[in-house]
Amino acid sequence: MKKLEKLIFEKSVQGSGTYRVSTSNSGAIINEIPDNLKRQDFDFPEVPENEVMRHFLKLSRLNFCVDEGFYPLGSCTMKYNPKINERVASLEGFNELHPLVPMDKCQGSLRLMYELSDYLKEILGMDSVSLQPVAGASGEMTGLKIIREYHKVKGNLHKKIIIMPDSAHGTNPASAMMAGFEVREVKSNDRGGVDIENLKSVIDDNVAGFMVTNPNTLGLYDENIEEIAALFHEKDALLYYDGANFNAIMGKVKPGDMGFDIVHLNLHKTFATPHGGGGPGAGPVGVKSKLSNFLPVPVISKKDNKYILDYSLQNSIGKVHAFYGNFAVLIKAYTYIRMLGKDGLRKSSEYAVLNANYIMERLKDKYSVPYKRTCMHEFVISAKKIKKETGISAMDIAKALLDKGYHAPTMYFPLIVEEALMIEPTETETLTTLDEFCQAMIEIYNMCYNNAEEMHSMPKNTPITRVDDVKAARNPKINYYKAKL
Amino acid sequence: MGFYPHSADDVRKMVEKLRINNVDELFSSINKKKLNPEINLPEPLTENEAFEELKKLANMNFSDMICFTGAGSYDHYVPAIVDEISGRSEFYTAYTPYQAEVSQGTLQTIYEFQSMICALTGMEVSNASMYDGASALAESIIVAMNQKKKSNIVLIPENINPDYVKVIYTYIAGLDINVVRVPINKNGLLDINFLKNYQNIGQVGALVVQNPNFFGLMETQIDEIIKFKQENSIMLIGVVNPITLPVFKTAPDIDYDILTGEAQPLGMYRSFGGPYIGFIATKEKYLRKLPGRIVGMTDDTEGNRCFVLTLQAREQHIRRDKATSNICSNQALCATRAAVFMSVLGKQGMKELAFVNIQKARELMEILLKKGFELKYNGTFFNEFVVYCKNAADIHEKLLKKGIMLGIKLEDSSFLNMKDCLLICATEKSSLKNFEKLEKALDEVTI
Ligand SMILES: Cc1ncc(COP(=O)(O)O)c(C=O)c1O
Repeated sequence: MKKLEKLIFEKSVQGSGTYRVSTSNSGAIINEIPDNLKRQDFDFPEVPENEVMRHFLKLSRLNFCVDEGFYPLGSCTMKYNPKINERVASLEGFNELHPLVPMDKCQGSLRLMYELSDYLKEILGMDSVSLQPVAGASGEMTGLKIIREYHKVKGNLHKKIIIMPDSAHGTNPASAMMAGFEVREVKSNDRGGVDIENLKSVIDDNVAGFMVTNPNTLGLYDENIEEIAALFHEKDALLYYDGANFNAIMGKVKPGDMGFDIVHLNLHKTFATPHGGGGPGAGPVGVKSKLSNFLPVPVISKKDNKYILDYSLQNSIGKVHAFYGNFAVLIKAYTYIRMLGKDGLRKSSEYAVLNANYIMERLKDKYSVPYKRTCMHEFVISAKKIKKETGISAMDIAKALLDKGYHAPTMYFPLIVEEALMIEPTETETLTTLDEFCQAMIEIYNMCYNNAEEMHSMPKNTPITRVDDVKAARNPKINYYKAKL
Repeated sequence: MGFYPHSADDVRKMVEKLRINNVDELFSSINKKKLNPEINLPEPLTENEAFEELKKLANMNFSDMICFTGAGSYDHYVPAIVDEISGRSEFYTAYTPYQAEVSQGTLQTIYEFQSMICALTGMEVSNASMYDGASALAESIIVAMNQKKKSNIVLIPENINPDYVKVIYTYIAGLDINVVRVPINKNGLLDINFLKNYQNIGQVGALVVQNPNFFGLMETQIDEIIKFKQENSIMLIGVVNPITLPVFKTAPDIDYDILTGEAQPLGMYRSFGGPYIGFIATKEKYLRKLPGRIVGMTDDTEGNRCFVLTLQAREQHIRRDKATSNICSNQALCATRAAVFMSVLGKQGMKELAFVNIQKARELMEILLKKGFELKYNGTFFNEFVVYCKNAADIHEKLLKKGIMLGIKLEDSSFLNMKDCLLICATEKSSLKNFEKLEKALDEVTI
């Protein structure tokens, strides 16, 4: 039997909670609340503090994390999260600060944000930055609302189309939809880049913008990017850069120099802030000067040697967060940039790309690589041939990796590669780790052909075995108390 | 200082394996003229130097001010166990739990979070979190309006957090949704008569009610609001502060279709505005319309009960431009913190927290009334209230010089031009000592 943990609700015993918020008899206040506003009773756990500690400690042990081992989850940049970042983000001067204190009381935070914006401008080749978006998708929506507003101000209401490659991440079309655009796809060519001929046939005056990742979601750098940019700029369409893959090119090339007008970064990928099991992240957006006035407010400006929250942007799209974004995440990215400096950032990308190419080179005889060219910080393999010959799918291979103590690569993305597995090692892994991982992948490959049966039943060494997704979705149980009813 | 461990020998071996001469050959797809650009950044630092730099910045903030301010960010005590657990690498250095077999820690924790949000709100289902209270409300409105395809008006009273309203306007730009603001009455509550006499009622898809509202007041006209929403078949969206819910009436007594809000009070530091965490809870019939991640219970192949991300057919990676939202990463670690917070306080602690907040706010109100302020609105409030005084701005300014922030000036808000009004907040952390300091300071500045 596996070592699973009961639910907190199953540990609840009436009257056994130990935590006290008040030692006085505060309950008398209830008499001052009108009866018609009062709630009767409610279900809630009652568990003593030491049992709460044990509960979550046991739960934590059921997780795999990058502090435990190699996490080659493509497109997610699971690099080491420096521990100093956690320490500085928990300094009281930062975490006990109310967001609405007068500006002369928060000069430290504002200066940090001002300087971080400056660094990101330099790194991206952009003229202005907003730190307000809180994730990649939040940055995308911000950028697309800017595109919309830009065309609206110019009176070009017919510009309703956003073009993106068929390899785009799901958030790209979803963000376009949330900004009121229609999506038009452009095909990828046999080098994994944008098919220019196809692009010319889908581009017209109704196009508001182009959204792309470069290196793209195949881990490949589109060498035609400047030509593509020119095609869009001819139609007064704006170029949006999804920075999820920025770890490939920090200090190597600036999106601004490729011709992009708007960029978002995922600080929780490239800039080493931890992902937290699914956030909080930060998705700052940078723009060229013609769009500076459209950024969310406030931005951080400097006036008379003081840092200020500046609400004066004429065409601002408004706000995307109640306050200024995920400030504590910004502290971590700031610290990371300060420690690495320009050479450190550049070297990080160089080693990220070197690591990815090294693994690809070692695996390419076993696993088919659909695009035979130098990759950037990640690459995609296809298990299509293996599946045809052995019945073993990309999913089976991913699950086998879990059994060997690794996190799985990203599976079944991008959609244009059948049986895709996307591998991103990041720069923070040693050659020994890469070699061991390659060895594990080769063993798995051999197993596909020698012991396919075994492959279907993996993983076995993990806290649970494969899960029944269909059951979860068919009869959703997502609330303990409802299940009890 | 960097975090790439390659020795010169490693690099040599790798480069040889790749049959290249140097690493830059890997970047040959990039236009040579654009490669390795100048970047102007400060010199690199050691960990020790970075720590000193960051301490310097932190010390430039006045985080030790006595702060009687809420307005969307609340000064609650964070139990030590919350930091202890969310500081575990297993939680904070994992990615989104795509691989359920090695992510049961995060998945079960989120399931427990969802369940406790449901228990608190009285709703049937909850998602795994949203970016913050403002975006959670904006997305709730989009969900509600998608249910009412023939309507394009959402009614939003003037007593809703003005920053949330700004976020709503940004989210709905480009969509077929129009905001109509509902005026407020002399009690600071929404004007029921406006609703009853509203001409365009056929166009209305949803009504938003913040409870307690931005002024801290509990809505007392709930029966009339429910009647209005049921008669006109309108989606009712509630925006609540979760720590009020152990005491104040909620669903199903109040017929909310969606309950949303900011869960920062459940274990998040104020942190200059983020990270916080939004939640969305709803009726089961709207489950498949929810944005974001949802964790569900299921079995593994050996029959063990386990948890998995579910109902993904709503989400961007499957439905792309037909998804319910673009949200991908959410605020999972904040949900973990909230789950620990709610678990450790438990039923009794959550009740006490609500009681003490009500109590402290009343004590603070008494002090201010004694010193010459007046209550702007009479009504039942939770831990915030609005006071009025003819030189409020001046007093606010002078108190700041003494290290006390007496709420926020409502005239500063771009939607609420409420001159001489302060929005004040007290919490369980508002100590007697700080109340005494405030009294003394008020005596000094008002003379
Ligand atoms: C290419 C790409 N774009 C966008 C996103 C969305 O980023 P986030 O999860 O921070 O919203 C991701 C995240 O996986 C991504 O890989």
